Amino acid sequence: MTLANDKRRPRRHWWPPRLRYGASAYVAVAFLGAVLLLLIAYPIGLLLYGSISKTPPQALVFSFDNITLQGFATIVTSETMHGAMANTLLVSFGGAAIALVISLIFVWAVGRTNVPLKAFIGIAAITPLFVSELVVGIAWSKLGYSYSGLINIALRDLNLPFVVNFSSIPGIALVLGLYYAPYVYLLMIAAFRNLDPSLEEVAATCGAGTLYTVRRVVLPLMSYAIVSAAIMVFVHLLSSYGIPYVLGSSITRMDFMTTYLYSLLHRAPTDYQLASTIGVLLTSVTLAAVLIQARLFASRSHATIVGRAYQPRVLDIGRWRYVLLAFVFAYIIIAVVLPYIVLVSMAFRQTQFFMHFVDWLNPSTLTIANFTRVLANPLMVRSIGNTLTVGVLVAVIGLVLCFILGYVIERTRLPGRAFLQTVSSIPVAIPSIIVGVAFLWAWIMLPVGLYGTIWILVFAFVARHVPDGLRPVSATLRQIHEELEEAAYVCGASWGRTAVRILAPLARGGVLSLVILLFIYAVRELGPVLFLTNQQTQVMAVQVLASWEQGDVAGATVVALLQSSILIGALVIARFVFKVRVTP
Amino acid sequence: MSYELVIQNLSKSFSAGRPVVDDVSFGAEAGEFLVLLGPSGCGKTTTMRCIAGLERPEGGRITIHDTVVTDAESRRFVPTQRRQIGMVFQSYAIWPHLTVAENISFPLEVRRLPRQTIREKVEGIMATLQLGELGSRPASRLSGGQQQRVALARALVYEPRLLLLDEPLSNLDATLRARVRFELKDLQRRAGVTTVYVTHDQSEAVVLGDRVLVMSTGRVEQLSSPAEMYNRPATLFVATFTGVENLLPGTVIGTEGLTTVVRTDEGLTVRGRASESLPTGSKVVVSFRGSNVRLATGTPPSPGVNVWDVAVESVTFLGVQNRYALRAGAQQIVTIDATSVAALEASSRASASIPHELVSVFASASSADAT
Repeated sequence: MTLANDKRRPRRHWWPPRLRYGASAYVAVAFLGAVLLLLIAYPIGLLLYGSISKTPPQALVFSFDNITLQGFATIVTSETMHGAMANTLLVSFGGAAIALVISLIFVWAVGRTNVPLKAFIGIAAITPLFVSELVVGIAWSKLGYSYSGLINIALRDLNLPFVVNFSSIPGIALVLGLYYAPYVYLLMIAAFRNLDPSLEEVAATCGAGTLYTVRRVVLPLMSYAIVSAAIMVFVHLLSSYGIPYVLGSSITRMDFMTTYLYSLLHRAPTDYQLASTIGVLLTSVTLAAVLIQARLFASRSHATIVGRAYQPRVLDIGRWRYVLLAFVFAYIIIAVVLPYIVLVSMAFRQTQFFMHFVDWLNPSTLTIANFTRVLANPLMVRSIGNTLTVGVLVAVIGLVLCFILGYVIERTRLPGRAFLQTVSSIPVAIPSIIVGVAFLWAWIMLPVGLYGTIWILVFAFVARHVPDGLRPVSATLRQIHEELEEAAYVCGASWGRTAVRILAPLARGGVLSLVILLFIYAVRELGPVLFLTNQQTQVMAVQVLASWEQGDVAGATVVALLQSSILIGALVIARFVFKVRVTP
Repeated sequence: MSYELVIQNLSKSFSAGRPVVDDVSFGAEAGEFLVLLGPSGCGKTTTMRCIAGLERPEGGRITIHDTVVTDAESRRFVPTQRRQIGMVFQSYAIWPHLTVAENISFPLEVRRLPRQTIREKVEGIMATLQLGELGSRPASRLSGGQQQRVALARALVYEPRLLLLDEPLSNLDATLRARVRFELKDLQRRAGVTTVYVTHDQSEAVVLGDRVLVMSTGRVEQLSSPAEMYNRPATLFVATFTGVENLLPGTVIGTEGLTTVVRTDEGLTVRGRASESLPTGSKVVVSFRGSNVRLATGTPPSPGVNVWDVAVESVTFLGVQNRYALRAGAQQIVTIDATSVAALEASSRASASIPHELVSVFASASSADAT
């Protein structure tokens, strides 16, 4: 996404006003470059080293004696790997297809039709993104296990002769599709909104009907957006972990690339080389997809798709709008409401097994015992504190880093800007779970006291989300006309005063929503820190997984619910205190 | 030296290749209203931004009130903040998060003036610019004309020596623009501030400028009074850019003192002045304004310099003017008559004449199609 957006940026003609840079400016750029190299390039370099070195990571042991391509050979020959790759590809294709269909209907409904409650739909469509994938997986495991799942209990009670099993390739693909649909929606909605409605109107004046216009005008113009969204969601699915693990590997021994990688690092015998090789493979595939997607954007002429939002052409679809609304509500109930009801019911119950559906509905079995047990466990309590600490640190450090980067890239002509821009877009091509593997290598081998502390979690999140932070900062700065700052210089204001009095207040909305967004990422995500926590630095996202692995399902759901409350709290603060809208 | 602003050999390019500003030199006297006029891309805005210190030129020297603020040779560069200038940007650059009064008082706060003085000065300039009750209004809720006045107030409030205006009227609608033009000129005269004004609109330049500097492709074409620019364009570019109606290709057939005699390709003999000596036989373009041609009914009483017997081909009513398409032999001529009642009818005969000082002769060059 980042690469593509950069292609669309208009060429700059007027250079910024910083015409004389002191030595400090060059030192600052060199420092920024060094930070990015340490955060991004160095860990990736060590991941590559890890994939060809038989020696497991040890402090300062850079040995080139044990260089082998055994990891790659194993990928080619091992049947376990073949199975994992096949499963990963199947659920990724399936999930991407389902996500694409759901989100296309949403995009069309919100962008072009007179479906009622549009504003609500627009917000509801992205709510799944505020829940962690692992938590969604846990909820669906309760709903969709072959015999003990609630759906099957209900089917049995109704004497219906079939059994649904979500611990299967189609089941996992369906849950992934439901979970990732909002992601595709966000990638496509902007392109849909920016489509000049007169292009459709002129088709109407030519006598073309609605469906004909959609088929001959809208879809061809949108094809690049649809294809690139499909590619991006596909690579996200390739490296998804929570849902395949909970629904697949943890029950059926079905392997996926990410779950296999996890077991290689967490179960004896550990195989760092093979894990790193899988990491390199997943990164290469993602990088290729990102580059293809960037090429797609670059090769398309944007003459018809301009950068401003139009008043969209609203199509009167008559009674069909209620059908569309029903579909939207069905999605929201299945993807958001149902998982939450299940989670809550699991968190407030000690036994998770029921013979009949009515037993599940029986309120007398509800208890808060799980909460008291979790909150009495110092490890659990520490994970809450750690999560909040990491979240706040990621938000602050990420914001400062991204804002300085954005300012240097957008508003100065210091040398090295292109380098900073390039390095900070690299994480787009690194699956989040691989960031963790790379950091594991990087900071075990360089013993500067980072590994095993809370800071390594913070830096892993910051490294992962530099592109996500830089994008809104750049967009915000580009929206602030440079003449607004120049006018302050002409009035005699120094650079500092201009930054404080003019730039900061004008960038306030973008900055605040970015703070919340970075906090949400750091609280929600599992991937970047999966391999980096220990007892002292445990965070909630990893604690959910740990409890689940120990068979403490109720404990996992309690932590998951607490984690969700923190996320909802952050959104409430964003909406009602900061008064900004947050879009992941 | 009475020059408030001196530009010497200014050069600026944004990338390797053709410079945007190419060896430009001029000066502005204290209190003068100087207009930089030219088509888009001619380097006028870049020149102004160099004066403001928002661009750093590769070559040349800029002096504001006896202080060298930019000198490429000695690598001297005074930052914008310390140039003590006022500037109105094309976008107005009104800070939307501040009120009107906060916008205007900003340069005074920067200069750490006492609060009482700030209030008085802000109130004074707001009264002058008829911003009256707008002080506490958020600046994001202003009309185009109000924004323009707020930007002007902010630029003038600390009484800078030099005022820079970058197409400040281009965002206003046509009727407002015409009115504000005169207000601006009046205000500048009362404030007595040396003003540099960038525009691509020649009618604006003529009304506002004490002198007009015409630029094209980074170079100075002409620096003169507006009347001089109109009646005696220095180059073919200035003639075409200011909309001269008659550009007649021809050949030099001789000189009579300071006058060059030209026979146009269509056979008409025209006398005019050339800025350079043109040998007999050179290919030239003769240029004169249609509004400078005098028309009289009937055939001319006696032949004279630039007196032609013409046939009226058509009359077009332009609103407050009439445009006549005439034919002298094979040569077509266009004249403009500033009366709304047509004095001549189509297909009548008339006499057309123009003083030879108002006819310019340019060597024809590739620049003939510069517009």
